[in-house]
Amino acid sequence: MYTSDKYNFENVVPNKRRHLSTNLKFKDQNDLIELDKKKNILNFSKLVSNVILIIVMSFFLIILIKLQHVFFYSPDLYNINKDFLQKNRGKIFDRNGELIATNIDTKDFYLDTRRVLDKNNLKIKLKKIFPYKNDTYFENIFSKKQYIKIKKYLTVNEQNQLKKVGDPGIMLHDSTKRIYLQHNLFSHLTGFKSSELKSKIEKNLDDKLKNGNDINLTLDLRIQHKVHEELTKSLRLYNASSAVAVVMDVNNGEIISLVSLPDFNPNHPEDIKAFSENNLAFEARYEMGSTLKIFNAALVYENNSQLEKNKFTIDSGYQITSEKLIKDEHIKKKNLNFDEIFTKSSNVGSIKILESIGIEKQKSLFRKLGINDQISLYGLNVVKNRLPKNWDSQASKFISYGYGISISPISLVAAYASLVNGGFKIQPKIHRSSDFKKERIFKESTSKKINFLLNEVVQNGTGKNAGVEGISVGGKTGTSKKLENGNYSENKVITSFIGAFPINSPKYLAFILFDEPRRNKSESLENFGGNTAAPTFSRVIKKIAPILNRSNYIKIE
Amino acid sequence: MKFFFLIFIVLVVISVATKLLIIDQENKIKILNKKLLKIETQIEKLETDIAYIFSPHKLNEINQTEFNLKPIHQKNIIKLQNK
Repeated sequence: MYTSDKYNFENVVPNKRRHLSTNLKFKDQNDLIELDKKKNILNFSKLVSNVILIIVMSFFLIILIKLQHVFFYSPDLYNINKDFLQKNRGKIFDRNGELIATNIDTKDFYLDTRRVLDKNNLKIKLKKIFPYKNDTYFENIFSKKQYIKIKKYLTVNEQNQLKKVGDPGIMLHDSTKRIYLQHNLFSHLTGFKSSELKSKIEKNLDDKLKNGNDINLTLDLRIQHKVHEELTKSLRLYNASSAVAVVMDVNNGEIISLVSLPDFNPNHPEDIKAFSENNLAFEARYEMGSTLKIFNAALVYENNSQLEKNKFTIDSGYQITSEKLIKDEHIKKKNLNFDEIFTKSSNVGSIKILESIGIEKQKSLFRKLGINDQISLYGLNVVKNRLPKNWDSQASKFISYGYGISISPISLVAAYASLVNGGFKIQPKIHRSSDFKKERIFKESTSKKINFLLNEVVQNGTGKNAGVEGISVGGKTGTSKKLENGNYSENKVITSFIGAFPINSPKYLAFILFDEPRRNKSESLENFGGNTAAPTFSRVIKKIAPILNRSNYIKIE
Repeated sequence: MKFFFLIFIVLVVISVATKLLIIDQENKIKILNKKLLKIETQIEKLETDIAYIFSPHKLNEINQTEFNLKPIHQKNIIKLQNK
């Protein structure tokens, strides 16, 4: 205790050590003097404490957010699965999910001659496993020290045999092979993919397929098989150089079948011949002949229905140029009514109808039908139709009976679909997709009249051989001479038939074409659409109709 | 502060434990994925085999050698009337 009276205050006591100093310091026992100061310090401490608390809490919050992110949203965790499963090239399926093209894991055989234990023994064994290799092949291989590929894509049998040999020089590397399970059936659509080359869908949709995306075609494997089978038989029967068949749904443009012969086996790209590689349905164009005459009927129904009642004199022919007189030698009648021009396929009558309607209406119709436009098919290259350079009155008359204009079969099928489906323009498609638009380009009455006319052609006209028991069909035959060195050949023709069924309310359209049918070699012009393509159409429809939606057909008792 | 430090330590421990758990589960997923891939490959092989066996030309061959079934023609199909 401090005893000095001089400095003894109630609450302030001088510092013991410095009580003699002039600079006095006091101990404030009850914190009276520094109360404010302490308050300030306390407040500051509280503030710092709060800031630290906020920082620590933020840190914890970040950890918590990160934790729940790892638990619930971590993309890496879920991508592992996809990376594992989508490493293969996409597959190609038909409309019912039947496999057309896929990949299989296989092995490639490499030989390291430096590691071979017994060269002579291995040489003998390899010759047995690969008997198709030349005798000198393995001699040359073993004559050098090298690491060389012997065979890509070993069969399971070859793999097993090589494993049994067990020489350290034998190297089997993992490999993937593209295989086409239906062999030739879809070759003209899928194309092929080898280690060096790709074609058609495999080429044009390579990016999609590479990323593991599958492709679903609108084609039906069963229908494709039947059409291919019948067309192959007919190609042999008529000894034609090539043939085309297309079956399409006229209401949505989906192509159910598309066959082009000759074709190829995409599993063996090394054997593909150049002449068999083109898909003639959309990579070739033809002067179609009389199948185009039905467009004249559409012109009349759309523009001048009075012509339907007229009679047309055809016996004197039509002088189309100073050198060319068009005659209907296959028709014995002198006068034809409107329907007979189509049922008997009169060239003269077609020209006379066109003359009455006019060239501009014809041009407008072709534009409406999309003949002037290039058709686009998903993943495929389609040839553009060849229209006359100078579409004048003379060209127009040639077009009226199917000459002077070269169009692709797919383009003709698309145009016919609009004529028979109630008058709607549709786009042909081979890829299943929901995008679809219908645009009316004809009156419904025009379409109904066309269907009636097509039925007449099969009932009473040139298309009698196209009839099918149990189904009402309608269609138009076509025969055209081939152009050779600027002149129309007297020996080579293109014959075709295009028909719809069931004709009272068409759902499907089928087109058959033969290039140079030579059944009667001495008189090859004896081949017409009516006796080659029409009976083939009949055989095809007979086979495919029960597979297609049978409730669409009428049973004729 | 002690309280917060304690929470921090606990959270760090939880985080590390969780991370370890995740790594462990990831490894399990990888193993399962490998198994899945193997099974997928086998299924694909089988699907390919089935597609080949059920391809029309193969069915045709089987039919010709074993069954000799005839195709159904449209004329033989009777459309049932809705009553």
